[in-house]
Amino acid sequence: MLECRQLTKRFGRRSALDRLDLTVATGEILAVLGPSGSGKSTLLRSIAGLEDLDAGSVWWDGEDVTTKPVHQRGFGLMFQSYALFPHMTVGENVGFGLRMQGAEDVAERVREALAWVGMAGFADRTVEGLSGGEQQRVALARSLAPRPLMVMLDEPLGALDRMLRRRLLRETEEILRATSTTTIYVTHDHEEAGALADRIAVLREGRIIQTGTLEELAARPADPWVAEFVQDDH
Amino acid sequence: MRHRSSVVFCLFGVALLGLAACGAGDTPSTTQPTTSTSATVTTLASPSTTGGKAPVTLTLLSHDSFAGAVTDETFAAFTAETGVEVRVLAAGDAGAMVNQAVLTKDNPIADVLFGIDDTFLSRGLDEGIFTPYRSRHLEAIPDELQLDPGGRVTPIDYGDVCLNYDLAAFGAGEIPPFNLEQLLNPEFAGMLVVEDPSTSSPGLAFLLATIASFGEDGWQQYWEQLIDNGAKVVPDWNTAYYSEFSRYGGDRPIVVSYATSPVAEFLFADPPVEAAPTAVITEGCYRQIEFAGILVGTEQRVAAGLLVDYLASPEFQSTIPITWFVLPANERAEIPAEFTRHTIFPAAPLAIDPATVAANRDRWIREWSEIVLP
Amino acid sequence: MKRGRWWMAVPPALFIGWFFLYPVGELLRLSLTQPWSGRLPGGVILFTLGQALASTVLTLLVALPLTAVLSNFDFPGRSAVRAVVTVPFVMPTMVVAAAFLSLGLPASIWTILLAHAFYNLAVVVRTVGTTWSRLDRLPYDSARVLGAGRFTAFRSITLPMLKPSLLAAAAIVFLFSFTSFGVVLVLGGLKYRTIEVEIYRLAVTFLDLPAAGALAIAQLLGVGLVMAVYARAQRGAPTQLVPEMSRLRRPGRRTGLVWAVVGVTLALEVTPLVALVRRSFQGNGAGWRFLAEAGTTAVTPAQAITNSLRFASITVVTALLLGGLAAWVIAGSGRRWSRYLDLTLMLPLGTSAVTVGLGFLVALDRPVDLRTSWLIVPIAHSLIAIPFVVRVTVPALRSIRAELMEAAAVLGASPRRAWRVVELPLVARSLAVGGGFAAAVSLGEFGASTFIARPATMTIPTLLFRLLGRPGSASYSGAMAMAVILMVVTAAVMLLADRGRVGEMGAF
Repeated sequence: MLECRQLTKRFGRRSALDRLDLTVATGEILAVLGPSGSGKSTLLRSIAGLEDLDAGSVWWDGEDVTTKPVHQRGFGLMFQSYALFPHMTVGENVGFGLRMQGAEDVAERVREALAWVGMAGFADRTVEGLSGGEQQRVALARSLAPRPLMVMLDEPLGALDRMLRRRLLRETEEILRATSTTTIYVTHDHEEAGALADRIAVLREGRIIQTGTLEELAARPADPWVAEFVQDDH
Repeated sequence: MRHRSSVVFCLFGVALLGLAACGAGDTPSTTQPTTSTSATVTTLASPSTTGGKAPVTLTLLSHDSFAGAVTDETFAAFTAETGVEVRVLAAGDAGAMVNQAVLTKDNPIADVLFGIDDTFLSRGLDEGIFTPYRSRHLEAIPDELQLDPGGRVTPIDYGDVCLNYDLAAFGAGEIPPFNLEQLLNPEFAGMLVVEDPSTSSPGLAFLLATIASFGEDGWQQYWEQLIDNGAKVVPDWNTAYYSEFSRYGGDRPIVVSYATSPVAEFLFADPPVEAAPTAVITEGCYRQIEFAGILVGTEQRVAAGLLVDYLASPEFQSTIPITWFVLPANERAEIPAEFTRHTIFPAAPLAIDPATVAANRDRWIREWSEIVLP
Repeated sequence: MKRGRWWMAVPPALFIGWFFLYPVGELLRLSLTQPWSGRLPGGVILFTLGQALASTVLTLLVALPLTAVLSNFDFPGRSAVRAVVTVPFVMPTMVVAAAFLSLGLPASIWTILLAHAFYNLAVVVRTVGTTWSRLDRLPYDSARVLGAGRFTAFRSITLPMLKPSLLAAAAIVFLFSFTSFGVVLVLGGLKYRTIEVEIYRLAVTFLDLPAAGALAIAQLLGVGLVMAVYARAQRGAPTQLVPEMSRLRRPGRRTGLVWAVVGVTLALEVTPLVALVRRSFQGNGAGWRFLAEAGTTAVTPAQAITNSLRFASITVVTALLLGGLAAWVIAGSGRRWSRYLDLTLMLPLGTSAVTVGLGFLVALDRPVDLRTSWLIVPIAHSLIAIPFVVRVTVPALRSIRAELMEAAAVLGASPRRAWRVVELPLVARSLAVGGGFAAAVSLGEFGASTFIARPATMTIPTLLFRLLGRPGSASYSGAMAMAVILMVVTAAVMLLADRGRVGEMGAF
């Protein structure tokens, strides 16, 4: 279980995270919903340890991990820009986390992870020849392959077309449920959030305004802004 | 973090200043000249002076021309005789070498210096870098070579800077110039290439030859006329000899080089030749003498003396001509037949005493530049 | 992106402090405390600056077409061309000047500029070329699609992305031209004197240290000024780099143009070298026979080659180690003292060899007397090699997006593992280029190694000069043969460096 207590992060005078509290139950898929600039990426990075907090703490299963180095936390993070290693093949990218763990069945698990995202057979391909959507799926596979304690996905399906997105959404949910992976799923699409997540947390200007299921948010929005945000307006 | 980085920078700066301050101004007295034994040293070279002790190694500082021809054999006989090993340092050209010796005189980098020539001699003696030593071979060395009455340096070899000409450029009936005045004749217009005295040792020697020949009042006019007659000036001997000299594809058949150059041309010709393809003009040559001396501050005064003796010995001196293409100072040394056969050595080369050269060199070169440079 | 611990700066700082700042400072202090000779050297400063600037511009103009071709097109013989282009860089200036003269070029300012371009082409090709060949094509292609002509797209897209490496190359070329000695001496006739030539004359011919010292200070100030301008111009976002092969295309329609550029530029580079090769074979290979005969030279060519390679390996290791540490620290987010370190490391490139060499003699006798140790030679070479390594490695490091390292950390890589497995392979090519330069500098005996008292170990250049220093056609041809050997050894080392792979997972 993840517990964020009073997370505060300032960039200059701007508060990216403003005394933010958040709890994610073990095995839960939490969607973090919010407009651009609301601090979504900063939140993920802070939980991962890539940003030093000005105040607040991060707890996992009752242990304070705030000062634990990034590579020891065991959290997975999929970057919005994918951040694939350009000098490695698809397979080497996906297997990176497994190799860091010292796993023995790397090749097998790489194959498995690639199959999850529908990229079976791509293991020996180089990264630069891939399309945007393919890169995104490799990045997703890379973050899931090591079966981390918790995985954080930053707009993981943004580059995909609708059909692929829908398919991948279903498959991602399947994988996450099957492995009971605690997940934080960042998106700006409330439909996606509603379809996948157990709970949604609405983030605005560094604070969690409201949490609940999509229905709860629509039925009892905390303020007009939330109401408009979760409204189905296309 | 700005504060921290400037602190770090200050620490570095202070550390460096501290290092510089430590190095500045103090002259370590780690070396003491062993004057106590000098009385006995000057008479005989005693073999195995080291007895059963650790082998002594002497450091010999010389210029690249000497050091570059040193092999394992060069000092093998010396080491066998005395048990002293010789380590040779190459210091660049003669001027750089003297510079280095002067700069390090408080903590010398070598025990013996060899290769200081007459043009730099005054400077070396004035700076007091040598400690006196009279080799037992001095009696075999002609008086005119012994330029230092104080006995601080020993003459080892001498050479003459002379005009060389390409035999192939002068056909039947064409006579090459035979002295400096002849170079002004129109028939030899555009034939001469000389080196810049401020960057070339033979160039300086040639300038000094003209000064010795024509005197303080005449040499400037000589040079004006020489330039008017088409003489070309280049920065160094290499360019003059291998780029401008007609033997190597240039268009100048007369070049300032050495009296031994024709011998080298004969010995290092491939395909072999019957006779040297170049010859020397014996008038207007300038004598260069090279000396060796023991550096002040050496810890091996005894062994250093032995080395100087060896350098002046007939045994070593006989190897000098063929290895370095200069002549041995010791009259008892053998000069290989090729040397006398393939060139003519000047009977009366010109020379100016070192003190006068030291006092006037700057002015002469400056005046020369004004005349020669456009 | 924050990278490198501050302690990484200590070894290179200590090295440059102890082996450069301290000796040079000591020598200057000494020369200025001696009585003044009355000589006022001054006129050469403007000329030196002017010819260095002109040389830099000419070199860039001559080098850029070939760099463009090598960075954008893949054609048979590409790596050979890259290797050949580096050979002139190491050739002794006296030899090259003689070759230029033998080609009939007159001693003049234009020949000087041309010779500088001949030498320094390699610097541009290898520093700018390494970056250019790894620029992402996408921005350029998008500009073209949006209607920009080829030149406009180049000017507004590619050129700004190349700016950092262009400036780096220009700085190095400028410094080399600024301190050029042999070329100016021989090809300048007597009219042209640079600061370097003057310092040499004053120190070595006239033994006038105060005047030489004053000029050396002027030289340092000039270099400092240029470095300040360079540092200011270097601001801006680092360029994103992609794997090399993705940019290279087959020449296709452009084949004719490609070969024309390669041909013309190689003609400039190769013609003087060919003149040397031909001279070595004159008289049916007299030079080679001379070298082969035992006893004609103090050491055999094989021994000279071995000595040269030995010194070169030490220089490469030292330069990569110290230069690498410095580069890692400097490439981190702009801490001010790291920029000072960067500029200080560049200073040896712009300092007279006489100053550094004599500085070694007055300074390095305590606590250990290194003044006449053989170590001095690779140390002198490393002073020149380290800034090269830094100049090519820093941009490569800066181009690594922070997120790549973050992704590695998140996936469980400790900082050291991430460095070894992600960062190092991505800069491997730059490190290889830097290492290649270090080898070249050492093989060609750059810098102060000619003004120190060193044990008489013959290297390829010293044997060359030995042979060149006396009359005799076989001796001279032998010297030319040594020059050819130097060319071949250099080309071989460069080809090796280009194949260099550093790091666990291979590189570009």
